[in-house]
This record gives sequence, C-alpha cells and structure tokens, in this order.
Amino acid sequence: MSKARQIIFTAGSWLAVLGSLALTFFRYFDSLGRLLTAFKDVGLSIAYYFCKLFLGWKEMPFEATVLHLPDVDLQKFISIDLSELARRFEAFVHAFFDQKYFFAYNEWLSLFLRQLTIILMLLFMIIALMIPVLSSVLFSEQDPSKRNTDSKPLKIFKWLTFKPYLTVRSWLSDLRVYLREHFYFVFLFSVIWLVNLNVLTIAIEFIAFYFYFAASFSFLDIPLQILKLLIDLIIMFSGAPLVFWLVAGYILFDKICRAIGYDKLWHNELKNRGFINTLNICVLISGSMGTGKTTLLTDMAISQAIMFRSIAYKKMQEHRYRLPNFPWANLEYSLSNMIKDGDLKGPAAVSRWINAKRKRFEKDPVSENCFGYDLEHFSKIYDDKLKISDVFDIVETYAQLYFIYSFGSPITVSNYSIREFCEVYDTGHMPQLTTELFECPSVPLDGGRYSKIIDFNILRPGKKVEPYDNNYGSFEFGVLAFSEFGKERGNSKENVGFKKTDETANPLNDKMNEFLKMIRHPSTVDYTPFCRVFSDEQRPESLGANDRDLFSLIWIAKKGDLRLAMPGFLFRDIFYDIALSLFKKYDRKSSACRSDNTLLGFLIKNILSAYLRYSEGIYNTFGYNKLRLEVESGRMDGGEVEVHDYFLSSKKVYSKTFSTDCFAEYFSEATLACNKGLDDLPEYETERPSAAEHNLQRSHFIRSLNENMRNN
Amino acid sequence: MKKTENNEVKKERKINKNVVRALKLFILAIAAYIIGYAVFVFLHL
Repeated sequence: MSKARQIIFTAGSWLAVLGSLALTFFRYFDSLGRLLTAFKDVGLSIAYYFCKLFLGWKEMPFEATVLHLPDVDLQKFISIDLSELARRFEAFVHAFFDQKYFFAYNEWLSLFLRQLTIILMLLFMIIALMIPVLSSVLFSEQDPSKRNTDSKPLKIFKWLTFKPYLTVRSWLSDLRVYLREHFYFVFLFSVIWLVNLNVLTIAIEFIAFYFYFAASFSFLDIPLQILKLLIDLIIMFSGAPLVFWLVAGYILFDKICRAIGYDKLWHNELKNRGFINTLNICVLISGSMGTGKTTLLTDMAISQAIMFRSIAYKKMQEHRYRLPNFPWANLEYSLSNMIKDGDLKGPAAVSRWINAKRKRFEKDPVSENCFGYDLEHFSKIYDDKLKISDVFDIVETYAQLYFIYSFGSPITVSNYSIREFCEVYDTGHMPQLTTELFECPSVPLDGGRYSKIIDFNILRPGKKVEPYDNNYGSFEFGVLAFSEFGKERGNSKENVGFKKTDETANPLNDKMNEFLKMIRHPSTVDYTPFCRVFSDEQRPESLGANDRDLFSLIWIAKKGDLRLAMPGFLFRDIFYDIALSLFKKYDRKSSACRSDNTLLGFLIKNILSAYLRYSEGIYNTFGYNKLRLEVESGRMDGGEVEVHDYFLSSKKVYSKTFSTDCFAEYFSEATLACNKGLDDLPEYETERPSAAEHNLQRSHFIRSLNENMRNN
Repeated sequence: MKKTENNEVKKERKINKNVVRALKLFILAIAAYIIGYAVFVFLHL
C-alpha cells in the first residue's frame, strides 16, 4: 500500500468517525438521550435486584425507571404522539377482529393488486416487444472468422469500465487491509452508529428489564416493555432510509438462514455417526453401478476417523478426573517428544515405554520417576469399584489414547485417496484438532492431505505378495477403506485354481480373513477398538462367504434428490431456475450462430453467471442427499433387514475429498498405450450387418456360430 | 425378506418441485396477507 493511500485512509477514517460523532449531536440527539436514560434504567434495575433479593427490602427508596415510558417527542419521527400510540396499542386486539377493518383492508388490497397488475401487464408488454428485437441482435448469423472478436460497443464499454473497476477494486482491497490493521476505527464507527440508530439502547433496556423482572417477577409489566420496544424501534427505523434497512434486514435474514443450515448439516452428521456406531467393525456397502457406494464409503470413513480422535479425547478427559493432580502436561511433553523423534510408532510401543518407566519407578519410587507426580500428598491408586489400578495403569492407557488423539498423520488407510479432515495443531499445551466439515473455506488448488496408501501385506499374517520390505505389524489402529474389495479377495468360484499350499501368496494362504477376524485385538485401547473396515462391492457375493460373514451388509435402497439444509432460499431458488434456463437458452442459440462478443451478450452472460455462481455456492455448501439404507447381516441368511436414513453432504464428500473415478488412471494408461480412438472403429454399412461385419466383432457368440456352421 | 428388488436404487417417490414451491408461496402469501392486515388495522385505528 502506498504512503499516499495510507494518509488518505487515515484522514477518511477520522473524518468518518468525527462526522458520525457530529451527527450524534445534531441529527441523532434523541438516540443519545435514550441511551443515557437506558443507562439510568439499568443502574436502578440492578440496584432494585440487589435490594430486593439480598437485602430483602419490600419498599424501595427509589423507583425502577425501567417502567417509565421514554420521554421523547414521537411526532418528530411519525405523525402520531405517544398517547395516540398507546391508545392504538390498546385498541388493536379488538379492532383486529372487527369486520369493518377486514372489509376495508380487502378493498384496499384489491385496489392495490389492480394497480400492480396494470404495471405488471405493461412490463410484460414491454418485455414481449423487446424479445424479438433483442433476439435479432443477439442471435443474428455472423461470419465464423470473427471468432472471439469484440464488437465496437463492447470495446468502448471495456475501455470505460475496466480501468475504474480495477482502480476501485485495488482501493477497496487496500482499505480492507488498512481497516484490519487499524481496527479501532471500525470499532469506534460501529459503536457510534449503534448509538445513533438506537440499537445499543434496545440492548441495554433489555438488560435493565431482565434485572427488574428477575427480582419482581411481574408479568403485568411486560406489555409496557413491548410498547417501549416499539417506540425504540420507531426511533431506530427513522434513523436511516428504508433502503438501508432492507439491505440490513436481508443480510441478517441470510445470516440466520445460514446458521440454521449449518446447524442442520451438523445434526445430520451426528445422526450419521450414531448410525455408524451401530454397525459391525467390518462394513460392506453394496449396490449397482452409479448408486454412490464409494461416496457413502468415503463419507463413513471420514466420520469414523474423526470419531476415533474424539473418542480418544473423551476417554483422556475421563482419565484426567481419575487422577486430578497428576501432571499430565509433563507426560504429554515427554510423549510428544518421543513421538516427534520417531521412537514411538504406535500404542504398543507407548505401552512398552510406560512399562519401562514403571520398572524404573519400582526400583526408585521418587516423584521424578513418575513424571513429577506428588506421591507424598496425592493418591497412588484409583478404585473404580470394579478393580484397583495404580498410577502407571492409568498413565499407560492415557498415553495410548494421547497417541491416537494427537497422531500427526492421517489415520485412514485405503486403496484410493480420501482427504483427511482432521488437522492437529501443536499449541505447546494439549494439541488441538480442527474437524470442521461444513463451515470451512473451499479447498485450495494445492490443498488437502490424503489418506495412507494401503499395503495389503499389513493385513496378511500368512504368505505375502512381494515379501521383501515387510510392513506387516505396522497397522495398529485406524480406518481401513477399500473400494471394490470383492475383486481383491474373490469368492470360491473366482479362487478356483489357488491352493493353500501354493508357494506364492493368494487369497487362500495369505490369512487375511483371520487377520480381519482378529483385527479388534491389536487396536483396542481402554476397552474400545480403534479400528474399522469399510468396503464396497457391486455384488456382496463377489466376496467369499468366509470374508463376508464378518461384515454388516448395507444396501443403498433409495437416493433422494439434492436438498438444501438452509431455509429461506425459496425466492432465490426460483430466480436460480429462471436464470439457469435463460443462460442455457441464450448460450445454446448464441453459440450456434455467432462466435464474436457483443456488449449485450457480455452483460447477459456476466450478470446471469454471477447469480448462477452464487446459487451454486449455496447448493455446494448446504446441499445434501438423503439415502435410505437397508442393513443386514453379511451371512445373507434372510435375517432381519433394518432400514436407516443417511445424509450425504456435498460440502463434506465432494470438496476434493475423493475421486469418483478412482481407477481412471489405470484405464487411461491402457488407452494411451493403444494409440487408437473411437473414430478408428469401422461403421456398419447398412441397417443389416453383413457376415464380414459380424466377424469384425471378435465375439464369442459369433465365433461359436461360425464353428457350428463349419462342423455341420 | 423385505430387501429391495434386484438390489437396484429406487427413485424416491417425488412430489413435483414446482408443486412444493407453489404450496410454500401460498403459505407465504397467507402470512403476508395477515401481517399486512395487522399493519393496516394499526395504521387506521
């Protein structure tokens, strides 16, 4: 930012603040008076509260002024005075049910609608007349060689607007930076205008009545407060033009709608987590192509990874109250240093490390050998009325939980990439997790951290594929996610030809089934298994019965349309549909007849697409699909089928989270190696294929027909 | 067993989007009518 701009911003900011302050005295003096009265009201209400509740006074030597009507001349703001307002307020309920007013209202409304209809008819007529004129301009056939050339009006428009636009943008961007650095200007300006527009008075009057009501419990005073609020609102709304309140009202409405939308998305997420907790450790998702199996698998894996860390944290808190005076920070510091140095690779290593500490402590039982715990004054044991544990028993479990909670890498291991949502921040104290799924910015171009690549050997206690550089034993806890798992394991028909005694690894001798059956054991910490297997397959029968029996089987029965969690989008949604339809119509017709750029086309395209981009953003943030899932046992023995709802949020599962075509690269390599395309395939000559054309199909069926003919 | 036939995803039985919108607009119109009436009464008392 240049020095000159900085001086201008400083001068402008002071001018804005001092100008606003001047307006407080010359234009909004009534608001200032109301504010001072509100301070008096709140002071006397607090005094009333303490005298009544703590001193037990029945008669007060002062009056709670919160019950006084404001001393303002209402006729300055509206055409009626305070007594008239009070009269209308009292007569309102009776008049609301009076047929005289009802008929008068309907008469007024019909007149209003008549006038509105005339205006709308006129507008429609103008639009109807403009459509052929605009169409002839927009969709006239042009020379294709003029592609991407600007028309003269467009060139003039760009010349006139681009420079001012870029200048204004640069000034605004600098102003934002300046105000962020000099926040006191924003604060002063906001406070002055909260006073000017009487907003602060309303808030203080609310506090004043809160204290008065808490002590008096007088419901009869509530109507008076509503009247006071009405007067304050009249002062507030008359403080700025209608257009300001319309914009402010829209911003407030949008903020409330967004807050409700985020709340609903979280509610759905928590319902999903509750459902995941009801499933077996191994889960198989089935359904035909394109039903969203991998999407559901990914969504479940993400939720489970977050759940593991939060479960670990909750359990750590439980351990903290078991030994409230233990110096947990010392333990965490030593532990995190060991983890950073790579000395501790998993919960088993943590357990061994703590046991070594225990042995040292048993030899020399001093505080230093127990992480500085004050053994002299605080308990060395904990009795949970089930068993008695010593300090090191509790510390061992806590340390294992800490390892899982603060694990710096993704804890998802998969055969396709899944974005990790958990980020661990080392603050010097307890590491903090960010697990925000919805209220977060878009993933940047180079952003995102992805899951660990599965080495299937880590699941093979038996024979291993390429047994050198053995990773077996490295997996202790985490989420395993496999797309197309049946194709990896095969069933009894597909595995014909393999033998348990084969020298090389195959699905029969790698003992992965045994590992999956026992997977709960190495991953259990504090009675909780920190391991889950999620997989998908088009047909569950593709997985052998021995594998499949372990799984909860999920069928995606129904997938609902994309819905919005955010309310209040009805009108904007209707405009979105209209804008989308107009854009598509314009684009289809325009791209078919001309390739140059016109001013009208430029404006139509940019205005419509700005609105479409905004709406798309809303749908991508608040959109979700409701799935109807049917859950049964992997035995597939006709047992009970449970029906559950599951909610797939677009923001969670489509923000560079995974690739719906995760095996695409494998196929594209084959395609590129082939060096041929669809265009290289021959076409049929007529509607009846010739024998030669049939032979070009290289079909099993045609080949067998040919053989039959030859044999006969 | 009450499993989905052929393991296929059934399309949710849908009410037309525009019917839902029309209903919402109708409710909003009624709300606007009542609020308008309240304001009208207050101003004409």
